[in-house]
Amino acid sequence: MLKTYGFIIVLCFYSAIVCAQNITLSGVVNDSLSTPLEYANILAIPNHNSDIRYAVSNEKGTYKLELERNQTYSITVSHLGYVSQELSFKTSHLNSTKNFRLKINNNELGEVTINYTPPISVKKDTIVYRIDKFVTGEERKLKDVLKKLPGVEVDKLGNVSVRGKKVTRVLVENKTFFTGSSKMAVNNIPADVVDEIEVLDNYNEVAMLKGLQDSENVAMNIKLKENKKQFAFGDIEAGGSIKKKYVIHPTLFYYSPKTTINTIIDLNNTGVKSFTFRDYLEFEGGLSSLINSTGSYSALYQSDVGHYLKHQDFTERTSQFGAMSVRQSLSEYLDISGYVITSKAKTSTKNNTENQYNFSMPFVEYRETNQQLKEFFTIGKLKMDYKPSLEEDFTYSSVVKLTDNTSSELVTTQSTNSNNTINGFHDVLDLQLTQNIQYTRKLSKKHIATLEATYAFANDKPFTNWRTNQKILQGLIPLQDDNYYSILQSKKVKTHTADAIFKDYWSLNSFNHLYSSIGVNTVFSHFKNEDVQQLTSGAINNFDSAGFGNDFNYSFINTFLGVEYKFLVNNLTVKPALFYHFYNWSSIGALERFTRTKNLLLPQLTAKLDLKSKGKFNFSYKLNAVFPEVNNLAYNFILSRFNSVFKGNPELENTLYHTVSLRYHKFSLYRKLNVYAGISLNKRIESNKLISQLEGIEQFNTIMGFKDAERSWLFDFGVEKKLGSIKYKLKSKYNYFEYFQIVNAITSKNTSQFTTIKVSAETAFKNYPNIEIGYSKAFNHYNTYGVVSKYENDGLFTSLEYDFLNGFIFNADYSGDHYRNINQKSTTRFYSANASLFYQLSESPWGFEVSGTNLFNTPYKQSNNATSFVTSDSKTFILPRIILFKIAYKL
Amino acid sequence: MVTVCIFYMKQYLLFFALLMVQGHIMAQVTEVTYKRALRSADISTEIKNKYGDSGIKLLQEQEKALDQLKYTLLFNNTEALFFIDAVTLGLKSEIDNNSYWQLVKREKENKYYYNRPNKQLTYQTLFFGEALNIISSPNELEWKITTESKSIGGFLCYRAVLRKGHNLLGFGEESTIEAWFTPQIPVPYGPKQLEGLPGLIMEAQLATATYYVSKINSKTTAKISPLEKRNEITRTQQVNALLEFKRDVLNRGK
Repeated sequence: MLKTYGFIIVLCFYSAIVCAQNITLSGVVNDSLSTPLEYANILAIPNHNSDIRYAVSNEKGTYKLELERNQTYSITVSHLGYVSQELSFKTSHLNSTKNFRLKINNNELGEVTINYTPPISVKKDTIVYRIDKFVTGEERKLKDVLKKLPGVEVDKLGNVSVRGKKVTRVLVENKTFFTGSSKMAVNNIPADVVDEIEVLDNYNEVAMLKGLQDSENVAMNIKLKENKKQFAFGDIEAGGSIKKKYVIHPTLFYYSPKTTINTIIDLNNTGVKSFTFRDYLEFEGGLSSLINSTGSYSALYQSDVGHYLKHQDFTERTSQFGAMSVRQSLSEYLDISGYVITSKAKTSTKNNTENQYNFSMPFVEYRETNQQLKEFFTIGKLKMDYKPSLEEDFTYSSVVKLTDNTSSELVTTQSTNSNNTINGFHDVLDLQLTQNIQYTRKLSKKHIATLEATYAFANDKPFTNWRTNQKILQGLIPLQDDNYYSILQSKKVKTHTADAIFKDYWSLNSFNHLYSSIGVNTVFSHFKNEDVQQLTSGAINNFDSAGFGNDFNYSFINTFLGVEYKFLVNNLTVKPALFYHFYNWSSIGALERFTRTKNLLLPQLTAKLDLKSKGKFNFSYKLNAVFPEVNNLAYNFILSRFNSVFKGNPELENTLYHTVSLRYHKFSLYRKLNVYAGISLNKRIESNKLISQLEGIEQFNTIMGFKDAERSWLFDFGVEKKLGSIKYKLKSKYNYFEYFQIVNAITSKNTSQFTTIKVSAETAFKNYPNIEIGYSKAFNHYNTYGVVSKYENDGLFTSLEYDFLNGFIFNADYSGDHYRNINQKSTTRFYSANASLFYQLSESPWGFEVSGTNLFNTPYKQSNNATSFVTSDSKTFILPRIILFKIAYKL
Repeated sequence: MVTVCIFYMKQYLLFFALLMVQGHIMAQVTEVTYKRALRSADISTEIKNKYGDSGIKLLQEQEKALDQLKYTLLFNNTEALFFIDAVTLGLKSEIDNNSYWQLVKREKENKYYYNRPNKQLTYQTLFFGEALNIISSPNELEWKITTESKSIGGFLCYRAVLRKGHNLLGFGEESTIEAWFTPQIPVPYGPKQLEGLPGLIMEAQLATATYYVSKINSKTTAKISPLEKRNEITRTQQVNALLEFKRDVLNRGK
């Protein structure tokens, strides 16, 4: 009790002493009419080394200043519009009062120009850490070194901050390290190569532009030890399962001041592709290099590598994959980069399809297809970037692509009028060479010119062999009787393509731009094919006599002029454009000769409305013309599939169609809301239509110009909103297609409609497991030749991710589908589940993972489609259950 | 009777005259023009070699453009409004991927308003696509006022360094935020969100940007127009929303 009292007394004395250090000066400020003045400034400038104190008078005119006792201050009282007063004041040990009376200032400031330039303080913005002072020698990676530096913080993911500022770029020897991300550098650069670390405040590549940024960027520059200027690092992952499944996946990087190499190797038979589309983008120079090339992203996505990376279903797959990218800087202005991607894969697929033929007398065909594929492709790309000045940019790229795919296919078909087994063997040998140059130059303040030219050469040699013990395509192909039938088809297509476009960007003024372009697209092709029957005796029965076999040269030249006018009115940017095309094409064979010219005026219109908070609208309209592929111009018969024969039409012209789309998007970070909606329409006014003669499952197809309009609509809408820690999503889409079908001289207008709705919820907890749960519903409605087929799918999906006990990561996902074929009144249910548990030993290069895919051992996936006059219900078989155990080691 | 009326009228007139004068002082707006400084003295020989003569010319053009950039502060005893002067942007920021036009595009959306009697600061901006008024209270910034002084255009200015409140202005704790203010113009206003000093801020450094006064006009006819009505959030809510968004994006990237 005494102790507490004592404590309180001491506290009182203490505060009294402290308070006693300061005394108060207070008072009232009035004007000459004794009216209290609010907002008067009372400044106390000390004569000794201390801070300036100040107070502002309130609505009663009173102020209170806290000053140090026994000190001299220069007190200034001022108010806008009044003459200020100044006096010298010495404080005592007691509180004081001082009132002031201010007179109106009749002198006005007027207009004053201030001739002043602020002094530029060239502060040394760099902190340097000499590493040897902080390390013990046991550190493995840069991350471990950084943790020992004062003022530097590194988090679990590899984000670095120095004195509270985030490091946004990592450089090694003054050049950006790979992508520049701190995560990459911090987790991989070996600790023993680091000599010094510089932290650059206010980092910007161009010192002059520092003043234009509002935020501060901090960069970290790693200086390497003299003899350790090159190093390698990477990860190795290897795993296996009891059922003889394996995976070996090394990722290696090599760094030296002028050269960087990135290698990814993947050998597995688990069907997993570890080289992702993102890796491919990085090889291509990263997302930033694609931003200025419209259409490049989708071109990559649809390319061969893009196609390889897409999801496929198979029952077995063994693949050997290697990718290597190299970047070499030759000088300050010249950079060369290149990559080589090689893939060799052996895949087995199985598919059972029920084909519903809805024409005249509807019947069903059961088809089972088993395929073994051996795919090999190699792509090499070389790119050169030359930027000699701020006004010029030159890029050259060269691509070589070699493809060698062989596949053997066993097709069993059963229907009321045929029962057959066909063996197909297909070999494709393909070589492609592409050269591309791009040049941009700023001509003047108002003009920027660009030139782009591409030359490509392709040599395709597909070869197919069908083998069956029954006569196929009777009446269409002149088969000679035999015990066994073997039909061979060889095709050779050599194509040269050359494109060039010159475009001038002219800024007429701030609100009006005019872009003019002139260009040319040319295609020169030689198409040759041969269909023969190889008799068991060895003799050849050439189908040439029956009108098969083609050999012709095709040339296509498109010269065009374009004008685009872009203007801005308030929030609306509009760009109408007109392109005038001069087409000239010809198809020349030994006996046939066909030449044609045509001129087309193709308009375009795009508009953007930016309503800021209320969202953005994007509108586009285009009239498109697409010319037929050389295949479709073949004037003699070609065998297309085991059950179809095709004859082209050299008199084909272009398809002509309108595309219109309107999109809306609103994003609000504050409201945690994302809304989007869109509607597009496609109207074909001139098309090249396939005309079919059908007999059972066998078809004879030819192609002709068609002038009736066909439409398709797409409508989509989505909302994402976060409430608390949960994000809710709704996605919906509706597609409508209408198209004409001409079969056995009967024309029918068919429609297909697809509707999908998906709702889901996703949690974003920091310390708890995160789950996502959703439900989807799909309706597919086909109307072919008056026969309606309906399919429905109800799906439930959920996924879970849990990081726990500092090193464990658990992932699991589950989905269940109820698939209904309404016409058949049948329901199929299938479920799929995958799970994995990963453990990373902390502060160690070792990691372990146990994973299971297709845990329920679901045999197949079901889907439906409507093509030509057939609606198909397909079962595609997938990889069986695989339990894999993997070890990962960080080099 | 008439004399009484005249007497009262005289008083009334005098009172009215004084009110006019006082009112005139209250309502009369002062216009201050600020410019933004580029650290052009930093052109090192390294940059000169890298970009060559044509490059230097281009950068000098950009610098000249930046020199045209002006901000305006309109104030009287009870209110203040700060904004960037109108610049015709048009389609400029679309073709020329120029940092200068990107800066102007950003700054055009920002207006800073201070209402002293209501004790409220309003920052009108486009916060990630949403037009908002962000509300906060004045005097949340803690300044250390030194006796270091210099003259700016004939006005005696003292140096103040921001001690606390960096995060409220959107900067890291280690950022340099300093201001030179003159008690000779005794109002607590300045560029951007800087306020609370016993005098008009004549020069301010907000991390990498330096703003300085180039003209003062106390006889301007410009008026302080009220900000348009928008959805309001507090400064704390804005800071928290941004933190949460960054966290979510980081988590997804894992």
